[in-house]
Amino acid sequence: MKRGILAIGMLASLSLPLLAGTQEGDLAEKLYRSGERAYASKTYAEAMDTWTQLVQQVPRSPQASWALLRMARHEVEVEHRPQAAMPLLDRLKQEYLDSPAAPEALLLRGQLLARQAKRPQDLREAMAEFNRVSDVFPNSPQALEAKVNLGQAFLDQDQPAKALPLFLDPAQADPATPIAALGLLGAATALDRLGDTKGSLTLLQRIQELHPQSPEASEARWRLLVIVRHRLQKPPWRSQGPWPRGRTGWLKTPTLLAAGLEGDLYIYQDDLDQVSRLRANQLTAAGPSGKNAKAFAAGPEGNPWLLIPKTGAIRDNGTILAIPGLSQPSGGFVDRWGTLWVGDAKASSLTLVAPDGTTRSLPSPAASALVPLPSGGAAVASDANRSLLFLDANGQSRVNLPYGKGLPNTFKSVVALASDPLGHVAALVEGGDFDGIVLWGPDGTVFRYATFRMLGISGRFRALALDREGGIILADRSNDLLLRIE
Amino acid sequence: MRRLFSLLALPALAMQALDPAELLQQAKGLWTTQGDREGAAAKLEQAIGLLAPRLPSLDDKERRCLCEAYNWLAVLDDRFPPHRARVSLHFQAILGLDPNFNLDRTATPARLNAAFEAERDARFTAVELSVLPPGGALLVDGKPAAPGTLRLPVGVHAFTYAKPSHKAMEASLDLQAGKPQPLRLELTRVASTISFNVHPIGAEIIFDGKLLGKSGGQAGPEARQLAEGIGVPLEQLSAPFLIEDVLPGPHQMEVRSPCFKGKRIVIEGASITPIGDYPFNPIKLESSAAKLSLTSPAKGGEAFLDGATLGPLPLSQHPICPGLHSISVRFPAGGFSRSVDVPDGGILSLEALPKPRLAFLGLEGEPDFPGRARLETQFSELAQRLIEVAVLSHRSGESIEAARARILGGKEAELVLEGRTRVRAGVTLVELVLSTPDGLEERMEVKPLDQDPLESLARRLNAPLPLREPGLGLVCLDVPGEKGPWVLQASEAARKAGIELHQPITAVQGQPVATLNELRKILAGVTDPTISIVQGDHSITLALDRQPLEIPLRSAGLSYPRVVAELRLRLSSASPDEAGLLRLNLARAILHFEKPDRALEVLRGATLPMGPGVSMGNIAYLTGVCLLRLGSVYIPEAIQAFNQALQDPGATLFGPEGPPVAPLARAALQSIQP
Repeated sequence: MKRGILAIGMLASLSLPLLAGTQEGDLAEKLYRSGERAYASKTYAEAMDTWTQLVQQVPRSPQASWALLRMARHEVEVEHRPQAAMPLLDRLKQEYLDSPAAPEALLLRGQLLARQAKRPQDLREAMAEFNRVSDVFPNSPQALEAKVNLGQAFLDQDQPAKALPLFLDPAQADPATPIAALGLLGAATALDRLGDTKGSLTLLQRIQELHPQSPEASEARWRLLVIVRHRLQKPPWRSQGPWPRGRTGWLKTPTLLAAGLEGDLYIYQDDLDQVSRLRANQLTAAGPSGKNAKAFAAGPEGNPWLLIPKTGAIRDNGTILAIPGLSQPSGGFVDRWGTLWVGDAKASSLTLVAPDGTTRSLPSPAASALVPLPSGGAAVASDANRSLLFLDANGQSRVNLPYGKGLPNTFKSVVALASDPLGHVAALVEGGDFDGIVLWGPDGTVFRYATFRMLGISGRFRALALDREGGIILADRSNDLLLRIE
Repeated sequence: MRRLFSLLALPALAMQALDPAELLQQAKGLWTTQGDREGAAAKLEQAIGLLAPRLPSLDDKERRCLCEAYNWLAVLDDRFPPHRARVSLHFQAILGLDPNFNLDRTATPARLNAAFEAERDARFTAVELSVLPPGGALLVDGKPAAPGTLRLPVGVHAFTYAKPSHKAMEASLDLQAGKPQPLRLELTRVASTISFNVHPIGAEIIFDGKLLGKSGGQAGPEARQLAEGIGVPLEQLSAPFLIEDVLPGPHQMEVRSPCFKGKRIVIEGASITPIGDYPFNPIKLESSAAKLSLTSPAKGGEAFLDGATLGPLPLSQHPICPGLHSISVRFPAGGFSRSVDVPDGGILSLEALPKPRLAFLGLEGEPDFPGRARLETQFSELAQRLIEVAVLSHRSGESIEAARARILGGKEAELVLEGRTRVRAGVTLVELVLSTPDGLEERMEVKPLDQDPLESLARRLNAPLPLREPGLGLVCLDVPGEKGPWVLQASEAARKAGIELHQPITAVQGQPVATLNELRKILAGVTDPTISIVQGDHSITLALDRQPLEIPLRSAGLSYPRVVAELRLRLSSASPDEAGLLRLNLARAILHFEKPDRALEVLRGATLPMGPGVSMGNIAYLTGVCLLRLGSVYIPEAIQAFNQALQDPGATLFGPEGPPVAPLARAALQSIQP
């Protein structure tokens, strides 16, 4: 009898921790699902509370790690507060490295760190995180995504050779996966930067064949077309006349043009003091307004800012970024690190405004026009020096092209510059014996040119933009129209 | 004591050795020739002693022998007064055995015969039974009987007579002592009977869609003329095949036999009208044949047709029967199987490339769970779903461990598959483990109640594994606005043939092409060594090349144990030219399992021509990658390998249109020699 009681007592004591474990597991699962339900119904505060409760009450459950990750994602994707996500991801990294949510959390952390980087060297921590994901979790789905992110970081640091193998890893693993498409696009970019145009083109073709419905395929399609047209086919330019077809006198003194990242065209009409967007032949007001804008500066999302003398830059959300001493702005852009580059025709330097507002000058000849280059630097035309400079991200001159080099005749001034993400630079030039347009490749080679006489057009052309079909759009302020050259 | 045993044993042994019929003859001889009544009676009693205990199982002959023994014993007992009383018992025994038995009048005195008849008439009544037509099945009280005089016990008796093609007849008689009765059973014909001889013997006869049987036996001499009439030796003509109960009206008959052309015969209603017996002309099937040629680059193959051996490979125009066949080849390693439908007169030529053999070891773990029986059925049917592996049948009752030991020990398979149950959240799942004998394995979890739990496994095992693709020595692009694939790059041979760079191709083999995808599809279907294309106004003939490819390292669509097994098999019989490409891809497949040391072993000595395309640079680069993964000790060797890769600037990853290898090798060198 005694032995029987003892046995029952032992069983009870043994089963208690097990029971507790099961109960905790149930509680964690219920709280997690409850949070998911709330999130699905967009009652975010309730979802956050529930997941917070889960992390506090059952911190060692696998659901706790997922809850932390979900909260971090919410901060990034919905609240747009990446800084609020970082503590959650830090905790995941510190306490849940062996959890199933760890690879995704580390990857997200790396991506946020990369996004926050203000200088190339700031990418180190992000790159370490990407390396950690691919080293510690090599078989996770995030490992290949981390490699692509790492490749992008190298590309941002203007190291395409190092980026290339990383971009190709997903395609080596399985070319049919979506991340392989992204990697192949990165690899095509890296090869182009390395000067291997044919290699780049074959990869762009491969993306279209393997992933025809993907966003990468759309991107690859226009890139392939533009590279082939400008660099390989180089057909003589011809004017297609007013563009969109047949529309004349429909603008009010167009003086500035810029191509957006989605292929849209932004137009500043001097008489309206307004930026408009042309998409699918429809013109709508979009972006900032301001009087006497002299140049566009490409904003971080590709939307143009306005550069106004003695004022500064009017951002796309309408706020003004004061730039002391800005006299005759000739072009600008926000680089990958958030720094605004501004050229001034009256200043023998470029002005760089960091995200924190600090300003510094970069020695340069007075810029008649300035556009971004995909390497992170800028193309600067200087009438004073009669040269076109390709600067790297540090402001160092990589290419110096005297006006007229590679052309039958020289010109005196650059009215406007345009560039595309492939490193093509086009210029509207005049004076001397050459009034027309010129297009250079990323290494400064003249690929195409034409005088207005050759094109059979006349007008007061003040701006140009490169489109995604291998054409050039010109703004004729005196005739209030656009012309397309192909 | 020993003597007593011997004496007891002897009669028993003697009885076992004696034949009752022989004893009966001996008894008759002793009495008729020697007058030895005692000796004869002893022999008869011996015979009765042997047969009587087996009464229920006696056949007709033995039953008759027993009746005769009682008959003769009654005669002998009648002559020996002390035994005379037993005579009546012997008669009773005879009547119990066969009421129709008639005493041997040559041996039985008339007095005894009269007594026997009187006894019989008291107990039985004779029925004079006749049937028409003869040859049917007669049953009396449910037991077979023959027409004639039947003596039956007094009382009611049932009679049935039936014959094919006739309406069966039933009758009943109430027999009374001493009143014999006649009974005539005459049937009415209701259907026809047809008969015919068939060549060949053993052909299947299908009548109105129902298989009736095979033509059997051999025709007798009376059919000699029939055989000669159709030009067939008599010994190759079957005995008449009878089809009975053929109702009036048209009928369809099919006669078929392997290696003969089948015949379909329509029997018109008029040809079997009126109903009757119709002997038809003999049916002769014409022989048909096909031929099989079977070769293999692999050595040691033995061919089997429908499971029967055809001997070692190669087979050249081996005669076979047309129709559906299962052809298989057993190799020292790997197997080949194919189901084919060979037309009459056709010549089938096959190249048997050994495929990995897959052995399913069994399902271990939970003995019973929902969906288990269904899943086991699917495992057993896996062979029909797989075309890229040869499935070995599972030996029922064999444990997983025993099967594994047998298969791995005997090198019977290149792949083994087993299922292991796992219980998660109260639900039983099955983990499938597919592995090579040297332990390269992949695991996948399946839900037994899924619509098709083995779909993913079967799909990946069946996935094609192309190591080459047809090419023209061109790199083309789809450039918007161009009329067809636009030539970016061309080999020297293609340029010499007339290909111009930066111009579109507009037609291939006479078909217009608008995209590169269309061009690839046409190339995939071309078997000629050359191909004609149109570029501008020119028609150009280019050689079709088989350009090497690299397999992906972690494709979700491939089963890597199968890839390893297949490439190893291909390598075992590969030409030196092909071996390099096989080794490169085998190393990539092994690298999938994170085994750089083993991949390196495979790459050792592998060679490919220099680029363009997948070439020597790929081997060198992959060698460098494997060495790097082995650790810093092998950095010098890795540097050497990457430098070798740089010596082949035309090498490209993936295939002829892939990215160049050289920048990757350069980047690797920079990463280890910053």
